[in-house]
Amino acid sequence: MIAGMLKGTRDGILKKLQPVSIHGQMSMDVYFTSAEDPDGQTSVARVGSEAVAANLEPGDSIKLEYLVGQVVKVSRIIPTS
Amino acid sequence: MREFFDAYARAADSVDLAFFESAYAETFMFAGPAGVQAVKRDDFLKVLPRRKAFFASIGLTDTQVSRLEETTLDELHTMVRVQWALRFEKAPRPPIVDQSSATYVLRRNEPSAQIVFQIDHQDLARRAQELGLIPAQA
Repeated sequence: MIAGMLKGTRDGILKKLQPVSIHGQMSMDVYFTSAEDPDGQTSVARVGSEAVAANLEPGDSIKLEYLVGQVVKVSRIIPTS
Repeated sequence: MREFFDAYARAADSVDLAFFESAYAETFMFAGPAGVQAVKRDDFLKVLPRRKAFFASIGLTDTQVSRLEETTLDELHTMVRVQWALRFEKAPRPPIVDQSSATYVLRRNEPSAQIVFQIDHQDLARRAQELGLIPAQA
């Protein structure tokens, strides 16, 4: 947990992806819960669509990368087993 | 310090990268509800336009210092807690002025000072959600 925080990443469970057009520029509202509390409070991050992995689906395990509190990348966590 | 953070507010509203390049140390620590990390200034400068786009998308139109508390730590370092007044305008809703705060440690670097540590006390995305500026999950 501490190591993850120091790297500026959080693991989550994707709940929903909502495309948003802001003045013609596409973004994604990424709704997610903590991987440690999948039924807990849903958070949302607005991320440039180019920074969100393709073909994500609700229920996927995701990794969110932060920089100064801003989510800058969302990737899928591939199960190892 | 008041002058520095008034300039910071103006730079935040206009995405003045030159200001932020002078205002932050080459590497600084950032802490917030999501965690703690060492940030390279160059990476921070790259994310600023995206950060500005996010704030614009939720209707942020103005940032001002509403309160500032300054503590001298030693000859080189000063800690400043800043309360920011953030004005959001998202029609048809009436404007909202919300308060957020952050604490900065600045290191004197004549003729000015540079931020070497920043703590954001709120998750602004979550706050935007609470204020209804980002739609709740359907």
